[in-house]
Amino acid sequence: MKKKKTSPLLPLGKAVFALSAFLIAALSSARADEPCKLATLTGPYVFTTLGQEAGGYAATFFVLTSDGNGNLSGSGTESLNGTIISNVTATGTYTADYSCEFTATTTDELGNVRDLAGTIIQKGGRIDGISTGPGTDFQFTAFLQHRDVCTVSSGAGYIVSDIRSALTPYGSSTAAEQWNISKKGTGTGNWVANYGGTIAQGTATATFNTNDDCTYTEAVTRSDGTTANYYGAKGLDGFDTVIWLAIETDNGWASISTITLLCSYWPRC
Amino acid sequence: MRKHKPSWLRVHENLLLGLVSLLLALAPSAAYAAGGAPHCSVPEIDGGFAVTALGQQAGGYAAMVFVMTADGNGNLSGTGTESLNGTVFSNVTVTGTYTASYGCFFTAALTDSLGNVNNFSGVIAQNGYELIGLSADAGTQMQFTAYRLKYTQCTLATIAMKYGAQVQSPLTPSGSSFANEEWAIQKVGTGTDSWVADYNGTISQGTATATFSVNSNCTYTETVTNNDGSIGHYFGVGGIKLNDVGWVRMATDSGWVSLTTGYFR
Repeated sequence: MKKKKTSPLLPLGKAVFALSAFLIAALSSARADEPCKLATLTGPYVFTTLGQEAGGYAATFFVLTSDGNGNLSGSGTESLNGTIISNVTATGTYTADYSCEFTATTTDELGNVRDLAGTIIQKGGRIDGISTGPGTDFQFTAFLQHRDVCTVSSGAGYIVSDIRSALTPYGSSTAAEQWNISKKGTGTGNWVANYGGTIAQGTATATFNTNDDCTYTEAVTRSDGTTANYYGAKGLDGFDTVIWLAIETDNGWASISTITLLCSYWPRC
Repeated sequence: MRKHKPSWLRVHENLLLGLVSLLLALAPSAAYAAGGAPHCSVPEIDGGFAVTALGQQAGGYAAMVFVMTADGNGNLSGTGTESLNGTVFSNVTVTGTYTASYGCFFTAALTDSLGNVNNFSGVIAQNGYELIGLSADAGTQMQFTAYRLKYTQCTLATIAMKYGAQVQSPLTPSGSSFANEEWAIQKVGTGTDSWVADYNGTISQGTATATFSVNSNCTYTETVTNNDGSIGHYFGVGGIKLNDVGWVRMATDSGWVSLTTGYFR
């Protein structure tokens, strides 16, 4: 009788397969129920807030580095009822509990104290929450900045900007923009905006100045002759496709822009 | 005389086929990276969408959540819930039309069964899977978002997962409010939550339990019992699974204009 030929590697192959399956299952399970701790939040985070504080509308934008031990430090820009203050430093402390609840208290060099509470999601890649200081009413979002070095060409391509403005010279505003950003630091865009119930739309051009630490400034000239200036951060590039965040730096504005990719994966674009 | 393939080609034939296939698949991406302009069209906007709007309309605050179908030919139809200055209307049907420009801008004109006409415009993002925009009618100011549904049929299991949720409420019986919630939803249609809320500067926090009822079209209703004894009711749309967003919902209690976005944890 002819004997069936067996490979000496077969038992090893089965063992490797079984081990791989076990590891995949174990890792998936661990990720699904991964608890949070202070070290879950380590690295630079771009914090934005938008809402009300100190009796007026406010927007803030900070890049705060979390040391993984409960401490925050960094700098940013604030709009307090339309008054812009740039290059503001801030320090703070944070907690992150087992169930991924987050609290933080930050104090800026102007003496403003902000208490925050929220939820850590996407394994520390993002934090969403609200203000918990008395007399304040704002939302905050923080994204881990995945890149720590950027150039003017970082993020070049087609992007979409979702702009929420609690305060503008024309009332509150919502706007949507689409930009084609070149690798040379210029951009062309189309936009539509609703300023307190009045609709406007047009085109725009922009120039970008990108810093090594991935912060940038942007000057926009719109087809209606208006100009706008922004301070932001690139390099977020996280799971949920938010790539940049920015605050408008013109007096009279309290406005935050959230920038995502127009096309994040092929082959649809 | 029959020609034979060179031996190296025979050996690497599968590898070469694989490489060619990969190159073909990556070609559009390469074109985009090289600066090729993205383009959109009406047929690309097709299928089910969870549609939300929040802001001001007709002199009051308004929120709406709809599940809508885009037919790929410029027509929309759907059903949902609206809160117009705190008066809640359920089972509202809506029909409409939409455009999608080559440059990836969209417009939508919606007429609901109450006779309300709403126009929206904005940008088509995420390869047509997300529409970001605003109300385009004079005297209105609403933010508009539409997420393409991943599923055409939903069950309780579709929404069973852990979420972080952001709640925006321009109108509540206690003033405007922001809240943040952390949910664990079970396949049996129950959920537990811890939350913190800021009602016009007054902070409160607690825990809650919820029961969910999911319809096959991915809409759902939710009853939340908070540990302070208060009860909230919601209408939502699940089955989105677009990157980080899992569901959207709105409060269906009178006196509330409130929209929640649930993010995967």
